[in-house]
Amino acid sequence: MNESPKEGAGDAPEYDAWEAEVKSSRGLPLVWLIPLVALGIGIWLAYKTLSEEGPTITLLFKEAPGLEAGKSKIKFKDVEIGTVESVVLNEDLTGVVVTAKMEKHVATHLGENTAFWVVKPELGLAGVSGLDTLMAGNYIAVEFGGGKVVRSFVGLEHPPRIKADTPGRTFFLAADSAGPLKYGTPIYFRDIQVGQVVDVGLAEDNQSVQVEIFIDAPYHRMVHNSTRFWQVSGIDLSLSAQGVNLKVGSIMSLLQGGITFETPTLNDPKVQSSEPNTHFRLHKDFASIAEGTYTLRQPYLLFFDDSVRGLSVGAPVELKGIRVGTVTELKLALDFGAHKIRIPVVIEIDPERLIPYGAEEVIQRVKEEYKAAMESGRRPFMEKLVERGLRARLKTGNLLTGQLYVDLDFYPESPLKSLDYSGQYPELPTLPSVADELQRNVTEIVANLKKLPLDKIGQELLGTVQGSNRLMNSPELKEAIVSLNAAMKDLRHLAQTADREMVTLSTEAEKSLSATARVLEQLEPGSAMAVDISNALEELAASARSIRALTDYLERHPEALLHGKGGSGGKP
Amino acid sequence: MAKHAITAAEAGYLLCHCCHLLCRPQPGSIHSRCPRCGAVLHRRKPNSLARTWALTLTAYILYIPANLLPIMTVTMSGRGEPDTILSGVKELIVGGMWPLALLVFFASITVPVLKLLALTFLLLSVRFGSHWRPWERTVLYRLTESIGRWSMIDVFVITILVAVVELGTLATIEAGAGAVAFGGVVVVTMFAAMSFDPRLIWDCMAPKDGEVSSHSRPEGAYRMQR
Repeated sequence: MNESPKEGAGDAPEYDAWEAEVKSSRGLPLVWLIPLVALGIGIWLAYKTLSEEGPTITLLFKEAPGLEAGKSKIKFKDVEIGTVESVVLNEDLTGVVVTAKMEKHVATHLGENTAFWVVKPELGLAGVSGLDTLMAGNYIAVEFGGGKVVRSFVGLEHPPRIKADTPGRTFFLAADSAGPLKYGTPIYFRDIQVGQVVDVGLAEDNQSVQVEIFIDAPYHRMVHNSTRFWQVSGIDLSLSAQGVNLKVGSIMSLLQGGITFETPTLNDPKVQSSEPNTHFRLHKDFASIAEGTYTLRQPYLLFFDDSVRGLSVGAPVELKGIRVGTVTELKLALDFGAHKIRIPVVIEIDPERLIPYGAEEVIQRVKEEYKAAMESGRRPFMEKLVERGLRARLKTGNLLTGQLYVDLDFYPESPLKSLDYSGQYPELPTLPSVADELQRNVTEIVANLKKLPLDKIGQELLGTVQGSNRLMNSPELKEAIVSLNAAMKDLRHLAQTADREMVTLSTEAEKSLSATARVLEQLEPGSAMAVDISNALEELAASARSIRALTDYLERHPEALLHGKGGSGGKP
Repeated sequence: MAKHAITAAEAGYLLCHCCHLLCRPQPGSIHSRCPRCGAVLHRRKPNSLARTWALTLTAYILYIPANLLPIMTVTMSGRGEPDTILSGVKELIVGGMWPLALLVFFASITVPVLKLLALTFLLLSVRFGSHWRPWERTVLYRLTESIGRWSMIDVFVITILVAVVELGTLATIEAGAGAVAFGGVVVVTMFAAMSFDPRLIWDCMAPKDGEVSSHSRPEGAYRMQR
């Protein structure tokens, strides 16, 4: 009860002061500003949050590996643009529904073609991808696409084929089988990777495999309509007449295969590069390019009666040694009508391999001529060839392996046949195979040999031999040899005698020769004898002249022989 | 028996907040000052109810973002998501750290909510002049005031963590906007508790005829302490 020592403390009734103090209501106290400010901040925050609230989208995945609700991010170009909110199974348990909250600024980009896929670490032959997810967990990657803006999407199982903004071009390749091709298979141009396979699937006709590829810019300009694509397998082992040829590609292509292409018209400025989505054929290997560039194929049916062992699907069909087609089917058929087994072989001939030859107008005219028949499904030109004797026969292509091939050739002497349209395909007439014929001939020869009277021939031959044997061992022959021996001795003796005589004879001859030489020496011009002789000859010539004069006189006056020569008063 | 104890106010005195000098107010002046230490004298805490209401409401408002906004983001080796208080508790439970989860839940959710509810209850009881158990209500008030600072544990932990855990890409912790709001809640609640004048609980217990025991505390609840 301490009283205030203050002097100013009066005894005034305190209550007035209290009233004044306690009831001093000065409107709204300033303290209310605090909640107002807080409210303002709260409202602003709420507004900001709500206004920045992006759309919630649902994604349907077959499976959602490593996605965690509230944690996994949705990224575009490695920038977070959303968060997974929940991961639940759908009603029929066939998939996973992922709900995600996206950021507001991407809301307008979520077109129906937007692609979502889960990025997870992948260890492939071509390398490792998605390593960053090992640390940070799997995330969903986005590739925005156009279209109507929607809020529910179907997630992709693997990254979309090509990022939408990648410069380059898409092409399609048709292959017989997919082989090692899959998403990501590299495409090489001169061993530089210029693109990749983005999709492999069946073509619409289910007859071939369609491979979608993407060639990055600027390499897409290397693709022209003449470009040829083929598969690179790691190892290429071929056995040919030149020997064994082994080519090994890069280890990468060994592991994952690849596609490579070449463009013959690359440096031709007139040739344009191909349009996007052009279709090409994908060849098995480089060697098969030559036969694979033909798209038009005509099936024919062949019936062989002889064995087709060694003939396989894919075996070549050759016309005069040049390949024109392929064997595509081999079967065994029961011919109920004729009670026999036949072997229908379907071949495909590429008519494009047959280059029209001749004057342009003739070709045109013939084409016009055949047009109607062709349109009705007939093959008039082949009909004509068959009439000219075109026949198919099996021939051995390789003696080592016994591989057969179908050989088409002209056999004008064979019985006339025509193209038969009664079956599924036009039927080409066939001939028995060469080997078969050979076999038949050999059989015939053997049969003929069997017909020969071999035993008789043998007996006679034996008799002859025995007779000659007897002759050889007979004493007469021995005697004859002895006497021959004596005769030979006499002959030798005679020869020796002649030898001796010849010596004397030759000396005699020498003598006579030298005498003759001497005589000739004496006859040389200027020698006495020669003068004598010439004189004698002159005398002889003079006498001959006188004889001629005489004879002339006698011719004129034959009577002179009787009367003698008349004088000056000869005739009376 | 129990002699009616009068309050200083009833006796016409003011008690100085600072030096607890009992003064008689100066007539006519709105703000009398303590003649000893010069502090402004008030009969009761000025505008106590209004201030407490305002601050409590502020705390309520702030409590919404404090729970909705992420309170902190723990990024470990590239992975990390902002966590709100509740999701943090959930994480701890999922992680099997029950004691820690309980502690966080208690300090961050139970205590602030209880404080706010207690303050609201006190305010309402005073507003409607309730005579219901003034003694317990006073205890509740004391509890509220003393427990207040413990709610700061969360904010404190976050600030320490943010400062300490800076391992670059390995692990970083960032405080979120929720932490600010939560700190705001705690601070504002403390101020609210401070600005409440517990004497108001007793002021409405004006002595009525024969009512004596109503003022008195429960038996044995209070011991003379020297």
